[in-house]
Amino acid sequence: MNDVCTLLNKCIQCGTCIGSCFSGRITALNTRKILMEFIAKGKPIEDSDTIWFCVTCYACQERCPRGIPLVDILLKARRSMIMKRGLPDKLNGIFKFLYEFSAFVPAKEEHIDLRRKFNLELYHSQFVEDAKNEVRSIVEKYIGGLIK
Amino acid sequence: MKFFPGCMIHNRYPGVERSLFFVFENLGVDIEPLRKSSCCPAPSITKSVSTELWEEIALRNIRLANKDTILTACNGCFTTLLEVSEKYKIGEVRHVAEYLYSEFGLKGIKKSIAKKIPIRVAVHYGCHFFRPSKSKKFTSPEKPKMLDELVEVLGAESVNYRYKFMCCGGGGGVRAGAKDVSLNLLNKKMMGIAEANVDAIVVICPLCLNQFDIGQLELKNDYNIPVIHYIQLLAIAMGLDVEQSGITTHKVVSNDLVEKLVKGEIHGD
Repeated sequence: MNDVCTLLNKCIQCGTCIGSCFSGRITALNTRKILMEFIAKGKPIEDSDTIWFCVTCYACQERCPRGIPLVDILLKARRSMIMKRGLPDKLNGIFKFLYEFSAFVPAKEEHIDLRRKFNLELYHSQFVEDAKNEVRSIVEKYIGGLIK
Repeated sequence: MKFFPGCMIHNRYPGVERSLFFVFENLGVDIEPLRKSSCCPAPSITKSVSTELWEEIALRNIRLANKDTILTACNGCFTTLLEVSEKYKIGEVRHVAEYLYSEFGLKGIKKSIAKKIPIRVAVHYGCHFFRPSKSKKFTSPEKPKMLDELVEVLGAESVNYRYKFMCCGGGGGVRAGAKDVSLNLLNKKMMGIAEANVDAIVVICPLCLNQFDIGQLELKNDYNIPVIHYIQLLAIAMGLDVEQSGITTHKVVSNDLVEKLVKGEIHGD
């Protein structure tokens, strides 16, 4: 966490990040405030549920005059939150898809028909048993215990 | 060269793949599917859970190409495979838009088309095409022009609109985790596009395509503006049958647009 502390303490509270944040205009996500509360009160970033509203457009990170990798920090905070509280229900489903089908967006019958219509073979690992199992074992290795 | 479809193109928008193979055959570039490839996996949502998982699945996909160049038509797949390939110094990864732009150039593309397509379009780059810019030095991280130029060389007009560089709302796991926020963002974006009075939205990422296409139905606001991947537009300009490009299998279909695409305009110069 030390590296993150050093990075965050570079923040001069200029507000460029929140000024660039489209999600912040319609949700309670306030990147400048999250940084301020961390620096002033030591409040862990992963204590703010609003970090899930970040669309990771990276506009804040590109524009930060102090070079703080804000999106990378928010993603790291999401990981810490998941370590403490588990995988959010809404994400559990798609990680289960990754485990079962090696795809976040698996094909159903109608999608298979659509590929046939365009004369395209089915070569995604979802359709190749040994490839699918290879991916499944990687998912199992890192987050097997998290998926419900 | 190996084409990496990712889940969205392989499993939802095969017309994009059909169009891409048509374009490359036309250009005389050898390309074949990267068989047995899986989900890339999607960068932000996977890194929200485990960076190790993200890297190892990406490495498996990169190694499948056996050092051949990997071509993607998705901003998410592009980001994942490019960043991991650079970190481990293995393989080469290109996005079809920047590949066509730098390898063939606007002149080369202009020469390759059979008809011009004089329609008004709103281009949407998708955040992860040009950001984070650390690995993406081919264009501006603030106001890229590449896609505007790529559509204009086909005879289309890229119309300026409010919120042009705003996210579609589909990324970062927000569509999966906070659907209302995702649709609110999309609605804002769509308001800007609707004001511009365009025939179509042109994207270079199937996740954005999905967000605009399915999202418009979910919004129930009657925007009815069709969404096309650039490679579909290019394929049609090169002579691919409009039906074969797959655009009529998208959720939002406009007969008016289909007519304009079928007709085109004889390429005079």
